[in-house]
Amino acid sequence: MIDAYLEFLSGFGPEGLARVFWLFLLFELPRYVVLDYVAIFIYVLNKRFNRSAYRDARRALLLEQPLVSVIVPGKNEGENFRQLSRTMKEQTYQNYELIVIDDGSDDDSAIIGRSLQKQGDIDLFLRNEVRGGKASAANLGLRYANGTFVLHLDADCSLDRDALQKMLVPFYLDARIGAVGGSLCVRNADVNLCTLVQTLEYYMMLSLGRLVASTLGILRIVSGAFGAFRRDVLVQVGGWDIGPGLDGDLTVKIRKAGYRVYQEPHAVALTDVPENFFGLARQRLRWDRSLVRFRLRKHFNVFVAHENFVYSNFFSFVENIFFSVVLTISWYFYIYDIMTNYSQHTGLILLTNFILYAASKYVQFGALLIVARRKLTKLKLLPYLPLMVPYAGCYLRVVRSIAYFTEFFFKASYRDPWNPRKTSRVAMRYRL
Amino acid sequence: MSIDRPSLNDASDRGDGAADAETYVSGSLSASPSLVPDGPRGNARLRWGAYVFEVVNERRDLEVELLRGVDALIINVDAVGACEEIVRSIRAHTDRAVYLKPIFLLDGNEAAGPLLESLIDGYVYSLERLEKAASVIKSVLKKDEQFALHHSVSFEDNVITKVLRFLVSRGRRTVEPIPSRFAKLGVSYPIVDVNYQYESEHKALNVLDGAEEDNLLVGEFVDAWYVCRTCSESRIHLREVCSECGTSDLKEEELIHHFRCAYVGPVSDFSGDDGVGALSCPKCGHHLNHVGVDYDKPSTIFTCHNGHTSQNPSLVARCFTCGSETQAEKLAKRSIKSYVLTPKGEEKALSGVLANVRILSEIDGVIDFATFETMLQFEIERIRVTNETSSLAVVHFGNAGELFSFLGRDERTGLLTSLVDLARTHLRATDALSFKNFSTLFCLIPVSSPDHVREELQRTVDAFRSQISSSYEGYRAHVAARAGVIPREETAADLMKRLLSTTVESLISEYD
Repeated sequence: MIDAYLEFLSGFGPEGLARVFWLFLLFELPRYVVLDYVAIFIYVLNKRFNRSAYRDARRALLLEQPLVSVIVPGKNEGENFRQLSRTMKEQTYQNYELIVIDDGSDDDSAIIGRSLQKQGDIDLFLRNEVRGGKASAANLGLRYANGTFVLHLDADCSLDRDALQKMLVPFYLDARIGAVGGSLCVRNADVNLCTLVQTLEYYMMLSLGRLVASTLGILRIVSGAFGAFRRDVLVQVGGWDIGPGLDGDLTVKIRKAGYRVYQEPHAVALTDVPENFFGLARQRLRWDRSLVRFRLRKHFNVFVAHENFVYSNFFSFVENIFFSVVLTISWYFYIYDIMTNYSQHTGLILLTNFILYAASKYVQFGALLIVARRKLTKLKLLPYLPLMVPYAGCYLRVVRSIAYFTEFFFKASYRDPWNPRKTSRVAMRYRL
Repeated sequence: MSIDRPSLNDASDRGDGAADAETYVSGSLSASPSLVPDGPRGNARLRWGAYVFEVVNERRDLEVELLRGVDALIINVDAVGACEEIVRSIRAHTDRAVYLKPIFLLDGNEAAGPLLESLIDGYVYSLERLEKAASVIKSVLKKDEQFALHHSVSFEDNVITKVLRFLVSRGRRTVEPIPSRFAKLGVSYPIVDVNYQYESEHKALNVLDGAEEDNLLVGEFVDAWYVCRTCSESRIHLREVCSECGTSDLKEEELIHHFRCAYVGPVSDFSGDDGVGALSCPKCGHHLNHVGVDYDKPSTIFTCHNGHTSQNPSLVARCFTCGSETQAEKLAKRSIKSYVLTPKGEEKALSGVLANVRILSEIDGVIDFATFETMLQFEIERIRVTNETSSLAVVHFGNAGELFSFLGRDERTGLLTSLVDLARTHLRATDALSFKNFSTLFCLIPVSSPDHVREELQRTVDAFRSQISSSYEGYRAHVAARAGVIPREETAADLMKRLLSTTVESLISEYD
């Protein structure tokens, strides 16, 4: 059977193979394998040759001991408050103020928050009796933050002990850095298949992918679940705007204001991910719709030549739009192409695509292992890497397609209950 | 109708000039009043039937100590404040002959108010018509006769005994809290508070709670009061202070959430200098025109003059009296109750002694008092027929309350048992013994000579005194005994009452 399969492949010849597997060869391989290794190589070299600069930056941080305002907005997150305050108490860097914003919770969150504030585990607990949405809650925290830096966290996050310190060092490495993203990993990885594949995705896309983008200067998003900012920069850009996708939107605003954004791979935070594919789909619909709403609508001027035009922003957007939107649409054309022009061999071609994509995941994973900590933990996931092919290649692509379609034609994000209706109504009216 | 009563208010006790002019006159309660020659300092003394009233016209004219010589007081003073002063000075007295004195207000003055009314016995509308007052006096005096001599080393015990005796003598059953802005606790239990200075008024609650614990009163919850932890003052000033620095210089502002740009900040961030109250977003510059459409106000924020912010400032109470500051949630909580007299409380009022009634029934060699009274009545009937001589004796332990106040249950039982045992060694097996209360032991000695009985009794009393002196250093037992022939004409109840009264009087004479 293998011989027959190899004969089938060899029957195409080099041009034929290129014709059949153009999607993989033209885009997947260069972008997610070759470019990853190039970027990792640059990153490693940078780190090696800038060791003393990093040490100096760390020393400067520890000497200055700037106050960090840790802002944690959320609704009905009361059960996470204790863990949150505990994870902060364990930090190697202790000069912080913990500001928790309760956005209209209708459970015991307010009681828990006030109790923890009384005990001194939370420095400032603010509550909006009426829910206003995550952006407004984060802005409320920003309004009363006193720190030089702001760390924005999701309430269910826990941090490595040195995570906060590691997030701050880059600001002392380069004064142009306005935001630093951390490495977000999955806490509930071993619950089921759904959480397992997300774990792999977080390693590959959120950790490795953003490190690559950061190294290339095209990082487009600092995660709202775990991101650090200069407070003066946040104030300058007006804090957060109405979401969803407010973290990506904020990152674009910071870049447009002339600041760099940086990814710190060794500042690690853990978070819980959806444990079923339906909940996951809802989350990804929200994330993916924000690409259309913010990058194609709100920040369309990134593509346009104007006085504040910056090439890195332009390329960041182009890369994002191309590999998210264009390739997603291209994939449908590719399937159509295969089914139309190679109908007798569709199965084998799809099988070959599976093998190629799976192999590329392993190669990509190698790049991750070069820079990652806790390598052994990651190595245990090796047998599951092929699952990424149907997960990212089919499931996420379909979800993404629905997201782009519904947002582009029906502006579905304005009806997302993730935002309160009162703000969505205004956003719709003013096309925000 | 003549009122023949043993009284502690004998003319010989009265030290005033009116003593010579006053005599007891038998007459109707509805007789016309007659003025007694001037009482001290211009007060009028008025006789109505068998009772003498002192009419007080001025506060300064009252000499509280001399009230022993009258049966009741009529206050004819205009100002309620002065009335209260007079009444409080009387009710605060330690002598039962003074603090239980019936007091009436002459109507036509200012409305007395609930505080004063709870301390007096009513109003008289005319000095010509004192029937109702006389009726009250009679009732009070009747009850007063039953009260045993009581003195305790414990101030609280004395106070509660006074309160109980006031209730019992007036036929009242409840002690009610009366809201008063002049009371330290904010409520007053007038009959209790009179015994305390303002600074110690809060102890009235302790006394009542103690009485409730001892089952003398039953408390019914009325309200919860929060008072200063340091001095129990109820007048406290509550205010919000910054939880960081404690300043009360706080500014409260509403937070505004601008929907369009998600900016959230206090109203002052949005207010311009135009003076017309327009709201303009500091982030995006747009005007906020319509709440619920452009913006809303999800919460409030407090900022102190030192720059600290919080949504829940601390609530701190400052006491007006001692000045101490306490967090509101740490104020002392006092339960304000109304109290109802219990049978045990009545017993305490009568005997002055606090004890579990059951103790008496646990003492061997005695019978219960109701049965004893029946046996005495039978003995009276029997000697009426047989013409024999039988004796009735009583041993009265006058200051039992003082000793019992620091004895436990078992010790009290042991003490009473030893009294019975001592009596038994000097009496016959056929002689009946019964405790009327903890301080009074009656003995029925049929077919006996009173002289012999007196001798034996005296030995019993001497032995009892000696036992107590040796057991309780520094304590001197006031014990007296009387024995007499059982007459054929008296009833058992009257006989026992007379004999006991005589004994109590002799005890008073001996030890006062």
